[in-house]
Amino acid sequence: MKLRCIAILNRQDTPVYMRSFDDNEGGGDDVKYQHLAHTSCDVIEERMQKSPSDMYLGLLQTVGELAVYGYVLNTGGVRIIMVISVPESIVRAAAIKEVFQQVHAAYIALVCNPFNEFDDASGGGGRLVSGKFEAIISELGRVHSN
Amino acid sequence: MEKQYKTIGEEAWKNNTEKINAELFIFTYGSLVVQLVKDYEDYTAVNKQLDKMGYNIGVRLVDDMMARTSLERCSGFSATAEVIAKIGFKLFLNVVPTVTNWSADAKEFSLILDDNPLNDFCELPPKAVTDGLWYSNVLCGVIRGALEMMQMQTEVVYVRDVLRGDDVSEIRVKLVRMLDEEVPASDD
Repeated sequence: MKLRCIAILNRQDTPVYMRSFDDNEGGGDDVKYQHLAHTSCDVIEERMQKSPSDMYLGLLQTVGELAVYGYVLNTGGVRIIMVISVPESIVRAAAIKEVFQQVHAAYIALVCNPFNEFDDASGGGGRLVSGKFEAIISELGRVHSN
Repeated sequence: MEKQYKTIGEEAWKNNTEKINAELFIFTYGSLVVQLVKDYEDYTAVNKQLDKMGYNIGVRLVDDMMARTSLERCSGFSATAEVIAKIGFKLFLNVVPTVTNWSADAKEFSLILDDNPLNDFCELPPKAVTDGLWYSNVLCGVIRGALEMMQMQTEVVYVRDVLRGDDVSEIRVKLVRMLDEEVPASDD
């Protein structure tokens, strides 16, 4: 499974974190993923209504050779979006869920940092900046790059 | 003597200590430090405040510890070091730092903390690191306050901290002088 991008959006669907794993051009690709994240939002809302207690939302959409999966945190409606290259062999839902859970765990560690700025009240969504979080996401990208 | 201290510490932790949720404590301490940082905006001042707060905690803490462990007077400064590490830290933080790096005149030693529960989840912003914030500086104040109640004037400072990228956390304790020249007949 080749991980292409991980994005975290807040309840207002503003991205608070975006990390792409393509090693070619950096800038252009980010726009593509932002667009993908945006278009996935409606599907997320729909899935959330269908199964309100489920955190894992499954495959949201496929665009060309990219597949987008979604995961909602049970706190505050924060969503995690994961984009992977469409694989040749079937990807098990369990594998995707596991990656999401690792991102979730890293997110919790980030949130617990007392020096983390939380702008959720203003609805603006501050950007998440944390060395440890970046390291974990990089590691995930490295592990799932085949 | 050392084995005794270790056992006393563990016994007291197991039997005579009420426990609270670690996360509650960590989050409380974290917000405290962050609030101080916002209020003072100068990391040296924050360090000083943490030390002062620790001092006030230490002078009260030591009575609590002595009541729970019924220890006798320490034979010397090295015994004091062992008591701080094996009983004091064990009782209040459930960690036992290592006592090392004794100076030649046996008046200074280091406490090496492999694992400081206050540090869980914490990540210092880069400015805090460059400007010299010691996140757990309150511990230095606690040691200083406690030892002053035991008639020792000390200087206690942080010299290394894992949050700043060092491999271990190290607190240096230096005995400046004894405040009580004569040995009392009994402890009241």
